[in-house]
Amino acid sequence: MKNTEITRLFPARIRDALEAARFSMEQIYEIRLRVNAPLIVIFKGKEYFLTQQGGFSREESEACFVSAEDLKETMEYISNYSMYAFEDEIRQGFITIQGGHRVGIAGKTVLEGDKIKSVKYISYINLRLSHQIKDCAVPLLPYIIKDSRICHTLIISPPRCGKTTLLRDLIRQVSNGNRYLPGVSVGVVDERSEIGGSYQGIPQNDLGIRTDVLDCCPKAEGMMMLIRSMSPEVVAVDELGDYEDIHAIESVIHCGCKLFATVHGSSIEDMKRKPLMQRLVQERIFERYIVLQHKDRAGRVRAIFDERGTSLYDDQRRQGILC
Amino acid sequence: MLKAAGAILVIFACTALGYAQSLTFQKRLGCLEEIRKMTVLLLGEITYRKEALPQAMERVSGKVAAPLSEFLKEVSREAGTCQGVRFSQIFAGRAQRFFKDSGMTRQDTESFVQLGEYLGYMDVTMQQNTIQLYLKELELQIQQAQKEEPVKTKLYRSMGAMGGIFLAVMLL
Repeated sequence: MKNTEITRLFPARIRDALEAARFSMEQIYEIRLRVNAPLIVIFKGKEYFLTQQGGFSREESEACFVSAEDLKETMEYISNYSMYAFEDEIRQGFITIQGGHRVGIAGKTVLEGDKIKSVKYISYINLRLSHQIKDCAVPLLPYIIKDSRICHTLIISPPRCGKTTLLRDLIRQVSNGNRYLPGVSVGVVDERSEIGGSYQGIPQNDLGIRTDVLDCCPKAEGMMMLIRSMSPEVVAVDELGDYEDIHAIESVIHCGCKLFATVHGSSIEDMKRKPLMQRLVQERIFERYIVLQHKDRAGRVRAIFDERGTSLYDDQRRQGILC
Repeated sequence: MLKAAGAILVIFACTALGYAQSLTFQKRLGCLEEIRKMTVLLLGEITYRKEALPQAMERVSGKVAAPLSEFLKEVSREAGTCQGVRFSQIFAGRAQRFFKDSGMTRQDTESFVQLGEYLGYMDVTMQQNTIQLYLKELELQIQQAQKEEPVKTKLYRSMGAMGGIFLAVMLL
Protein backbone atom coordinates (compact mmCIF):
# COMPACT_ATOMS: atom_id res chain seq x y z
CA MET A 1 0.00 0.00 0.00
CA LYS A 2 1.44 3.35 -1.00
CA ASN A 3 1.25 6.19 1.53
CA THR A 4 -0.01 8.57 -1.17
CA GLU A 5 -2.98 6.26 -1.79
CA ILE A 6 -4.20 7.30 1.65
CA THR A 7 -2.80 10.81 2.12
CA ARG A 8 -4.40 12.06 -1.10
CA LEU A 9 -7.80 11.60 0.55
CA PHE A 10 -7.19 14.43 3.00
CA PRO A 11 -7.10 18.23 2.71
CA ALA A 12 -3.69 19.87 2.35
CA ARG A 13 -3.19 20.59 6.07
CA ILE A 14 -3.85 17.02 7.23
CA ARG A 15 -2.05 15.60 4.24
CA ASP A 16 1.07 17.60 5.14
CA ALA A 17 0.96 16.20 8.67
CA LEU A 18 0.50 12.64 7.43
CA GLU A 19 3.25 13.01 4.85
CA ALA A 20 5.62 14.46 7.43
CA ALA A 21 5.04 11.43 9.65
CA ARG A 22 7.65 8.78 9.06
CA PHE A 23 5.56 5.64 9.14
CA SER A 24 4.24 3.21 6.65
CA MET A 25 0.49 3.02 6.15
CA GLU A 26 0.85 -0.74 6.67
CA GLN A 27 1.20 0.01 10.39
CA ILE A 28 -1.87 2.22 10.57
CA TYR A 29 -5.19 0.58 11.34
CA GLU A 30 -7.44 3.60 11.48
CA ILE A 31 -7.46 7.36 10.96
CA ARG A 32 -10.28 9.11 12.79
CA LEU A 33 -11.55 12.58 12.00
CA ARG A 34 -14.09 14.25 14.24
CA VAL A 35 -15.28 17.81 13.86
CA ASN A 36 -13.46 20.24 16.18
CA ALA A 37 -11.58 17.34 17.72
CA PRO A 38 -8.00 16.10 17.44
CA LEU A 39 -7.04 13.80 14.60
CA ILE A 40 -6.54 10.32 15.99
CA VAL A 41 -4.44 7.58 14.44
CA ILE A 42 -4.56 3.96 15.50
CA PHE A 43 -0.95 2.90 15.03
CA LYS A 44 0.00 -0.74 15.67
CA GLY A 45 -3.21 -1.11 17.69
CA LYS A 46 -2.58 1.91 19.93
CA GLU A 47 -4.26 5.30 19.81
CA TYR A 48 -2.24 8.48 19.20
CA PHE A 49 -2.93 12.11 18.36
CA LEU A 50 -1.27 13.23 15.15
CA THR A 51 0.57 16.53 15.50
CA GLN A 52 0.79 19.13 12.72
CA GLN A 53 4.47 18.25 12.35
CA GLY A 54 3.64 14.62 11.68
CA GLY A 55 4.55 13.22 15.07
CA PHE A 56 2.56 11.00 17.41
CA SER A 57 1.57 12.41 20.77
CA ARG A 58 -0.51 11.49 23.78
CA GLU A 59 -1.07 15.20 24.53
CA GLU A 60 -4.33 16.54 23.12
CA SER A 61 -2.94 20.09 23.11
CA GLU A 62 -0.26 19.13 20.56
CA ALA A 63 -2.72 17.48 18.21
CA CYS A 64 -3.78 18.60 14.77
CA PHE A 65 -7.44 19.62 15.06
CA VAL A 66 -10.04 18.85 12.42
CA SER A 67 -12.48 21.51 11.24
CA ALA A 68 -15.88 21.16 9.55
CA GLU A 69 -14.29 22.41 6.33
CA ASP A 70 -11.61 19.69 6.55
CA LEU A 71 -14.33 17.05 6.82
CA LYS A 72 -16.24 18.50 3.88
CA GLU A 73 -13.11 18.53 1.77
CA THR A 74 -12.17 15.01 2.84
CA MET A 75 -15.58 13.73 1.79
CA GLU A 76 -15.10 15.42 -1.57
CA TYR A 77 -11.80 13.60 -2.14
CA ILE A 78 -13.03 10.30 -0.76
CA SER A 79 -16.02 10.31 -3.08
CA ASN A 80 -13.81 11.34 -5.99
CA TYR A 81 -15.74 14.63 -6.18
CA SER A 82 -18.92 12.62 -6.72
CA MET A 83 -21.02 12.28 -3.59
CA TYR A 84 -24.02 11.32 -5.71
CA ALA A 85 -22.23 8.16 -6.86
CA PHE A 86 -22.11 6.92 -3.26
CA GLU A 87 -25.70 7.60 -2.25
CA ASP A 88 -26.43 3.98 -1.36
CA GLU A 89 -23.19 3.57 0.54
CA ILE A 90 -23.70 6.81 2.48
CA ARG A 91 -27.15 5.57 3.45
CA GLN A 92 -25.47 2.48 4.93
CA GLY A 93 -22.91 4.59 6.74
CA PHE A 94 -19.75 3.68 4.92
CA ILE A 95 -17.96 3.97 1.60
CA THR A 96 -15.41 1.49 0.34
CA ILE A 97 -12.67 3.18 -1.62
CA GLN A 98 -9.96 2.02 -4.00
CA GLY A 99 -7.75 -0.47 -2.20
CA GLY A 100 -10.65 -1.89 -0.18
CA HIS A 101 -10.32 0.65 2.63
CA ARG A 102 -13.56 1.38 4.44
CA VAL A 103 -14.59 4.92 5.28
CA GLY A 104 -17.19 4.97 8.03
CA ILE A 105 -19.24 8.16 8.29
CA ALA A 106 -21.61 9.68 10.81
CA GLY A 107 -23.52 12.93 10.95
CA LYS A 108 -27.14 13.99 10.79
CA THR A 109 -29.35 11.39 9.18
CA VAL A 110 -32.07 12.40 6.74
CA LEU A 111 -35.16 10.23 7.10
CA GLU A 112 -37.81 9.38 4.55
CA GLY A 113 -40.66 7.81 6.47
CA ASP A 114 -38.82 5.58 8.91
CA LYS A 115 -35.96 4.78 6.57
CA ILE A 116 -32.61 6.50 6.35
CA LYS A 117 -32.42 8.43 3.08
CA SER A 118 -29.02 10.01 3.50
CA VAL A 119 -26.51 11.42 5.95
CA LYS A 120 -25.86 15.14 5.92
CA TYR A 121 -23.47 17.33 7.91
CA ILE A 122 -20.96 14.52 7.94
CA SER A 123 -18.97 15.32 11.07
CA TYR A 124 -17.22 12.04 11.79
CA ILE A 125 -15.06 9.98 9.50
CA ASN A 126 -13.29 6.77 10.36
CA LEU A 127 -10.91 5.52 7.68
CA ARG A 128 -10.19 1.86 8.31
CA LEU A 129 -7.25 0.68 6.29
CA SER A 130 -7.44 -2.67 4.63
CA HIS A 131 -4.35 -4.81 5.07
CA GLN A 132 -3.24 -7.65 2.95
CA ILE A 133 -1.07 -10.00 4.96
CA LYS A 134 -0.01 -12.79 2.71
CA ASP A 135 0.35 -16.26 4.24
CA CYS A 136 -1.30 -15.20 7.50
CA ALA A 137 -3.76 -18.08 7.06
CA VAL A 138 -1.08 -20.75 6.58
CA PRO A 139 -1.00 -21.86 10.26
CA LEU A 140 -4.77 -22.44 10.08
CA LEU A 141 -4.76 -24.69 7.01
CA PRO A 142 -4.21 -27.97 8.93
CA TYR A 143 -7.26 -27.13 11.02
CA ILE A 144 -9.64 -26.39 8.16
CA ILE A 145 -8.55 -29.23 5.88
CA LYS A 146 -9.65 -32.65 7.01
CA ASP A 147 -8.95 -35.84 5.05
CA SER A 148 -7.91 -33.76 2.02
CA ARG A 149 -11.14 -31.84 1.92
CA ILE A 150 -11.98 -28.33 2.96
CA CYS A 151 -14.32 -27.81 5.92
CA HIS A 152 -17.16 -25.29 6.08
CA THR A 153 -15.50 -22.59 8.16
CA LEU A 154 -16.88 -19.68 10.15
CA ILE A 155 -14.51 -16.99 11.42
CA ILE A 156 -15.92 -15.36 14.56
CA SER A 157 -14.34 -12.10 15.55
CA PRO A 158 -15.07 -8.76 17.20
CA PRO A 159 -14.48 -5.72 14.98
CA ARG A 160 -10.84 -4.78 14.27
CA CYS A 161 -9.46 -8.25 14.95
CA GLY A 162 -8.53 -9.08 11.39
CA LYS A 163 -11.32 -11.35 10.22
CA THR A 164 -11.43 -9.91 6.70
CA THR A 165 -7.64 -10.05 6.40
CA LEU A 166 -7.70 -13.68 7.48
CA LEU A 167 -10.57 -14.55 5.15
CA ARG A 168 -8.75 -12.85 2.27
CA ASP A 169 -5.65 -14.96 2.75
CA LEU A 170 -7.67 -18.10 3.30
CA ILE A 171 -9.29 -17.51 -0.10
CA ARG A 172 -5.88 -16.95 -1.69
CA GLN A 173 -4.40 -20.10 -0.13
CA VAL A 174 -7.28 -22.29 -1.24
CA SER A 175 -7.42 -20.72 -4.70
CA ASN A 176 -3.69 -20.95 -5.45
CA GLY A 177 -3.27 -24.30 -3.75
CA ASN A 178 -1.11 -25.10 -0.75
CA ARG A 179 0.91 -27.94 0.71
CA TYR A 180 -2.25 -29.71 1.87
CA LEU A 181 -4.48 -29.33 -1.20
CA PRO A 182 -4.22 -28.35 -4.88
CA GLY A 183 -5.96 -25.10 -5.85
CA VAL A 184 -9.73 -25.04 -6.24
CA SER A 185 -12.08 -22.47 -7.77
CA VAL A 186 -13.37 -19.95 -5.25
CA GLY A 187 -16.36 -17.64 -5.64
CA VAL A 188 -16.27 -14.49 -3.53
CA VAL A 189 -19.35 -12.38 -2.89
CA ASP A 190 -17.79 -9.09 -1.91
CA GLU A 191 -20.78 -7.03 -0.85
CA ARG A 192 -18.74 -4.13 0.51
CA SER A 193 -15.69 -4.45 -1.76
CA GLU A 194 -13.58 -5.12 1.31
CA ILE A 195 -12.26 -8.56 0.50
CA GLY A 196 -10.99 -7.86 -2.99
CA GLY A 197 -10.91 -4.07 -2.72
CA SER A 198 -12.11 -4.01 -6.31
CA TYR A 199 -11.79 -0.83 -8.29
CA GLN A 200 -13.82 -0.72 -11.50
CA GLY A 201 -14.31 -4.47 -11.21
CA ILE A 202 -10.63 -5.37 -10.76
CA PRO A 203 -9.60 -6.69 -7.32
CA GLN A 204 -6.74 -4.68 -5.86
CA ASN A 205 -5.92 -7.44 -3.38
CA ASP A 206 -4.52 -10.80 -4.38
CA LEU A 207 -7.32 -13.34 -4.04
CA GLY A 208 -5.63 -16.13 -5.93
CA ILE A 209 -5.61 -17.40 -9.49
CA ARG A 210 -8.82 -19.43 -9.32
CA THR A 211 -11.02 -16.79 -7.72
CA ASP A 212 -14.08 -15.12 -9.22
CA VAL A 213 -15.34 -12.00 -7.47
CA LEU A 214 -18.87 -10.68 -7.51
CA ASP A 215 -18.36 -7.12 -6.38
CA CYS A 216 -20.89 -4.93 -4.52
CA CYS A 217 -23.50 -7.67 -4.68
CA PRO A 218 -25.84 -8.55 -1.80
CA LYS A 219 -24.54 -11.77 -0.24
CA ALA A 220 -27.69 -13.85 -0.48
CA GLU A 221 -28.28 -13.14 -4.16
CA GLY A 222 -24.58 -13.24 -4.96
CA MET A 223 -24.02 -16.70 -3.49
CA MET A 224 -26.77 -18.17 -5.65
CA MET A 225 -25.61 -16.26 -8.71
CA LEU A 226 -22.07 -17.55 -8.33
CA ILE A 227 -23.17 -21.13 -7.89
CA ARG A 228 -25.30 -20.95 -11.04
CA SER A 229 -22.79 -19.08 -13.16
CA MET A 230 -19.25 -19.89 -11.99
CA SER A 231 -19.63 -23.30 -10.29
CA PRO A 232 -17.18 -22.60 -7.47
CA GLU A 233 -15.96 -25.31 -5.13
CA VAL A 234 -15.66 -22.82 -2.28
CA VAL A 235 -17.87 -19.79 -1.69
CA ALA A 236 -16.56 -17.01 0.57
CA VAL A 237 -18.54 -14.18 2.15
CA ASP A 238 -17.80 -11.56 4.78
CA GLU A 239 -19.98 -10.51 7.72
CA LEU A 240 -23.08 -12.67 7.77
CA GLY A 241 -26.05 -10.99 9.35
CA ASP A 242 -29.41 -11.10 7.59
CA TYR A 243 -32.01 -13.81 7.46
CA GLU A 244 -31.47 -13.96 3.67
CA ASP A 245 -27.76 -14.66 4.20
CA ILE A 246 -28.50 -17.60 6.46
CA HIS A 247 -31.07 -18.93 4.04
CA ALA A 248 -28.59 -18.66 1.15
CA ILE A 249 -25.93 -20.47 3.20
CA GLU A 250 -28.18 -23.50 3.44
CA SER A 251 -28.55 -23.50 -0.33
CA VAL A 252 -24.77 -23.23 -0.81
CA ILE A 253 -24.15 -26.14 1.50
CA HIS A 254 -26.79 -28.28 -0.17
CA CYS A 255 -25.22 -27.54 -3.56
CA GLY A 256 -22.06 -29.28 -2.41
CA CYS A 257 -19.94 -26.15 -2.19
CA LYS A 258 -17.72 -25.42 0.77
CA LEU A 259 -18.27 -22.17 2.62
CA PHE A 260 -15.93 -19.67 4.23
CA ALA A 261 -17.73 -16.94 6.15
CA THR A 262 -17.13 -14.41 8.88
CA VAL A 263 -19.39 -13.02 11.55
CA HIS A 264 -19.13 -10.48 14.36
CA GLY A 265 -18.90 -12.07 17.78
CA SER A 266 -16.41 -13.18 20.36
CA SER A 267 -17.26 -16.82 21.01
CA ILE A 268 -19.44 -19.73 19.94
CA GLU A 269 -21.68 -18.89 22.89
CA ASP A 270 -22.26 -15.51 21.24
CA MET A 271 -23.41 -17.34 18.12
CA LYS A 272 -25.80 -19.47 20.13
CA ARG A 273 -27.33 -16.34 21.58
CA LYS A 274 -28.02 -14.82 18.15
CA PRO A 275 -31.37 -16.13 16.92
CA LEU A 276 -30.24 -16.33 13.30
CA MET A 277 -26.89 -17.97 13.95
CA GLN A 278 -28.19 -20.29 16.65
CA ARG A 279 -29.73 -22.71 14.17
CA LEU A 280 -26.54 -22.90 12.10
CA VAL A 281 -24.58 -23.89 15.19
CA GLN A 282 -27.18 -26.35 16.42
CA GLU A 283 -27.51 -28.01 13.03
CA ARG A 284 -23.73 -28.22 12.79
CA ILE A 285 -23.64 -26.51 9.43
CA PHE A 286 -20.12 -25.23 10.00
CA GLU A 287 -17.41 -27.79 10.61
CA ARG A 288 -14.84 -25.35 11.91
CA TYR A 289 -15.15 -22.21 14.02
CA ILE A 290 -12.14 -19.95 14.23
CA VAL A 291 -12.42 -17.41 17.04
CA LEU A 292 -10.19 -14.35 16.80
CA GLN A 293 -9.19 -11.90 19.49
CA HIS A 294 -7.24 -8.68 19.82
CA LYS A 295 -4.54 -9.61 22.26
CA ASP A 296 -1.33 -7.59 21.82
CA ARG A 297 -2.23 -7.23 18.16
CA ALA A 298 -5.03 -8.00 15.74
CA GLY A 299 -5.40 -11.38 14.12
CA ARG A 300 -4.62 -13.61 17.05
CA VAL A 301 -6.52 -16.88 17.09
CA ARG A 302 -8.16 -17.50 20.44
CA ALA A 303 -9.63 -20.90 19.71
CA ILE A 304 -10.65 -23.31 17.00
CA PHE A 305 -13.60 -25.63 17.41
CA ASP A 306 -15.12 -28.37 15.32
CA GLU A 307 -18.85 -28.76 14.62
CA ARG A 308 -19.44 -30.50 17.95
CA GLY A 309 -17.79 -27.69 19.85
CA THR A 310 -14.69 -29.75 20.61
CA SER A 311 -11.68 -27.51 20.97
CA LEU A 312 -9.00 -28.21 18.39
CA TYR A 313 -6.85 -25.34 19.48
CA ASP A 314 -6.81 -23.11 22.54
CA ASP A 315 -4.66 -20.02 22.89
CA GLN A 316 -4.74 -20.33 26.71
CA ARG A 317 -2.94 -23.60 26.55
CA ARG A 318 -0.58 -23.09 23.66
CA GLN A 319 1.51 -20.47 21.96
CA GLY A 320 -0.93 -18.31 20.03
CA ILE A 321 -1.31 -18.47 16.30
CA LEU A 322 -0.67 -15.04 14.93
CA CYS A 323 -2.48 -14.67 11.67
CA MET B 1 -0.59 53.01 -59.08
CA LEU B 2 1.10 52.44 -55.73
CA LYS B 3 -1.63 54.44 -53.99
CA ALA B 4 -4.33 52.31 -55.60
CA ALA B 5 -2.56 49.12 -54.56
CA GLY B 6 -2.26 50.46 -50.99
CA ALA B 7 -5.93 51.39 -50.91
CA ILE B 8 -6.92 47.92 -52.13
CA LEU B 9 -4.75 46.37 -49.45
CA VAL B 10 -6.33 48.52 -46.72
CA ILE B 11 -9.83 47.65 -47.93
CA PHE B 12 -8.92 43.97 -48.09
CA ALA B 13 -7.37 43.97 -44.60
CA CYS B 14 -10.32 45.74 -42.99
CA THR B 15 -12.81 43.44 -44.72
CA ALA B 16 -10.85 40.41 -43.51
CA LEU B 17 -10.82 41.85 -40.00
CA GLY B 18 -14.58 42.34 -40.06
CA TYR B 19 -15.01 38.82 -41.47
CA ALA B 20 -12.79 37.32 -38.76
CA GLN B 21 -14.73 39.18 -36.09
CA SER B 22 -18.01 37.88 -37.51
CA LEU B 23 -16.65 34.33 -37.28
CA THR B 24 -16.33 34.57 -33.50
CA PHE B 25 -20.15 34.68 -33.32
CA GLN B 26 -20.38 31.43 -35.25
CA LYS B 27 -17.62 30.01 -33.08
CA ARG B 28 -19.49 31.02 -29.95
CA LEU B 29 -22.69 29.44 -31.19
CA GLY B 30 -20.83 26.24 -32.08
CA CYS B 31 -19.19 26.15 -28.67
CA LEU B 32 -22.47 26.71 -26.81
CA GLU B 33 -24.12 23.92 -28.79
CA GLU B 34 -21.22 21.61 -28.01
CA ILE B 35 -21.50 22.48 -24.30
CA ARG B 36 -25.20 21.61 -24.48
CA LYS B 37 -24.33 18.24 -25.97
CA MET B 38 -21.66 17.67 -23.32
CA THR B 39 -24.04 18.61 -20.49
CA VAL B 40 -26.74 16.24 -21.72
CA LEU B 41 -24.21 13.40 -22.02
CA LEU B 42 -22.82 14.17 -18.57
CA LEU B 43 -26.32 14.14 -17.14
CA GLY B 44 -26.80 10.65 -18.55
CA GLU B 45 -23.50 9.42 -17.10
CA ILE B 46 -24.40 10.82 -13.69
CA THR B 47 -28.03 9.76 -13.45
CA TYR B 48 -28.03 6.51 -15.40
CA ARG B 49 -24.56 5.08 -14.86
CA LYS B 50 -23.90 6.85 -11.55
CA GLU B 51 -20.35 7.25 -12.76
CA ALA B 52 -17.97 9.40 -10.67
CA LEU B 53 -17.18 12.77 -12.25
CA PRO B 54 -13.62 12.05 -13.44
CA GLN B 55 -14.73 8.84 -15.18
CA ALA B 56 -17.93 10.42 -16.52
CA MET B 57 -15.94 13.32 -18.00
CA GLU B 58 -13.40 10.97 -19.53
CA ARG B 59 -16.18 9.00 -21.23
CA VAL B 60 -17.94 12.14 -22.50
CA SER B 61 -14.67 13.66 -23.78
CA GLY B 62 -14.64 11.14 -26.62
CA LYS B 63 -18.05 12.28 -27.81
CA VAL B 64 -17.59 16.03 -28.05
CA ALA B 65 -15.41 18.27 -30.22
CA ALA B 66 -12.36 20.32 -29.25
CA PRO B 67 -11.71 22.41 -27.21
CA LEU B 68 -14.38 20.86 -24.98
CA SER B 69 -12.95 17.36 -25.36
CA GLU B 70 -9.54 18.62 -24.23
CA PHE B 71 -11.13 20.51 -21.37
CA LEU B 72 -12.93 17.38 -20.15
CA LYS B 73 -9.83 15.22 -20.44
CA GLU B 74 -7.75 17.71 -18.47
CA VAL B 75 -10.35 18.14 -15.71
CA SER B 76 -10.83 14.37 -15.50
CA ARG B 77 -7.08 13.75 -15.26
CA GLU B 78 -6.55 16.43 -12.63
CA ALA B 79 -9.59 15.42 -10.58
CA GLY B 80 -8.51 11.77 -10.78
CA THR B 81 -5.27 12.52 -9.00
CA CYS B 82 -7.05 14.35 -6.13
CA GLN B 83 -4.14 16.64 -5.35
CA GLY B 84 -5.94 18.55 -2.62
CA VAL B 85 -7.76 20.95 -4.92
CA ARG B 86 -11.54 21.42 -4.86
CA PHE B 87 -13.36 20.28 -7.98
CA SER B 88 -14.82 23.73 -8.54
CA GLN B 89 -11.31 25.19 -8.63
CA ILE B 90 -10.08 22.63 -11.16
CA PHE B 91 -13.18 23.15 -13.29
CA ALA B 92 -12.98 26.96 -13.18
CA GLY B 93 -9.25 27.07 -13.85
CA ARG B 94 -9.47 24.84 -16.90
CA ALA B 95 -12.61 26.57 -18.21
CA GLN B 96 -10.95 30.00 -18.17
CA ARG B 97 -7.99 28.60 -20.09
CA PHE B 98 -9.81 26.55 -22.69
CA PHE B 99 -12.54 29.05 -23.52
CA LYS B 100 -10.17 31.98 -23.91
CA ASP B 101 -10.32 31.97 -27.71
CA SER B 102 -13.58 30.15 -28.18
CA GLY B 103 -15.74 33.21 -28.83
CA MET B 104 -17.61 32.66 -25.57
CA THR B 105 -18.62 35.82 -23.75
CA ARG B 106 -17.67 36.48 -20.14
CA GLN B 107 -21.23 35.71 -19.10
CA ASP B 108 -21.14 32.37 -20.98
CA THR B 109 -17.94 31.35 -19.21
CA GLU B 110 -19.23 32.52 -15.84
CA SER B 111 -22.40 30.46 -16.01
CA PHE B 112 -20.38 27.45 -17.19
CA VAL B 113 -17.97 27.89 -14.27
CA GLN B 114 -20.97 28.08 -11.94
CA LEU B 115 -22.03 24.66 -13.12
CA GLY B 116 -18.70 23.33 -11.82
CA GLU B 117 -19.52 24.73 -8.38
CA TYR B 118 -22.38 22.30 -7.95
CA LEU B 119 -21.18 19.27 -9.88
CA GLY B 120 -20.61 16.29 -7.64
CA TYR B 121 -22.32 17.98 -4.73
CA MET B 122 -25.04 16.03 -2.89
CA ASP B 123 -27.28 13.41 -4.42
CA VAL B 124 -28.38 12.48 -7.93
CA THR B 125 -31.57 14.56 -7.69
CA MET B 126 -29.50 17.61 -6.84
CA GLN B 127 -27.20 16.89 -9.76
CA GLN B 128 -30.16 16.46 -12.06
CA ASN B 129 -31.73 19.73 -10.93
CA THR B 130 -28.49 21.68 -11.21
CA ILE B 131 -27.75 20.37 -14.68
CA GLN B 132 -31.33 20.91 -15.87
CA LEU B 133 -31.20 24.48 -14.61
CA TYR B 134 -27.95 25.09 -16.44
CA LEU B 135 -29.38 23.52 -19.60
CA LYS B 136 -32.32 25.94 -19.47
CA GLU B 137 -29.94 28.86 -19.10
CA LEU B 138 -27.81 27.49 -21.91
CA GLU B 139 -30.83 27.14 -24.12
CA LEU B 140 -31.60 30.84 -23.66
CA GLN B 141 -28.01 31.74 -24.45
CA ILE B 142 -28.13 29.64 -27.62
CA GLN B 143 -31.44 31.17 -28.71
CA GLN B 144 -30.05 34.63 -28.10
CA ALA B 145 -26.87 33.80 -30.01
CA GLN B 146 -28.89 32.31 -32.90
CA LYS B 147 -30.97 35.47 -33.09
CA GLU B 148 -27.95 37.75 -32.94
CA GLU B 149 -25.69 35.75 -35.21
CA PRO B 150 -27.01 36.73 -38.71
CA VAL B 151 -27.44 40.38 -37.75
CA LYS B 152 -24.06 40.71 -36.08
CA THR B 153 -22.26 38.68 -38.75
CA LYS B 154 -23.66 40.96 -41.43
CA LEU B 155 -22.89 44.04 -39.36
CA TYR B 156 -19.25 43.13 -38.71
CA ARG B 157 -18.65 42.11 -42.30
CA SER B 158 -20.13 45.25 -43.79
CA MET B 159 -18.49 47.42 -41.13
CA GLY B 160 -15.14 45.87 -42.03
CA ALA B 161 -15.60 46.56 -45.72
CA MET B 162 -17.03 50.05 -45.16
CA GLY B 163 -14.32 50.90 -42.68
CA GLY B 164 -11.71 49.75 -45.18
CA ILE B 165 -13.16 51.94 -47.91
CA PHE B 166 -13.41 54.89 -45.53
CA LEU B 167 -9.80 54.48 -44.44
CA ALA B 168 -8.63 54.10 -48.05
CA VAL B 169 -10.45 57.31 -49.05
CA MET B 170 -9.00 59.14 -46.09
CA LEU B 171 -5.48 57.99 -46.90
CA LEU B 172 -5.81 58.92 -50.54
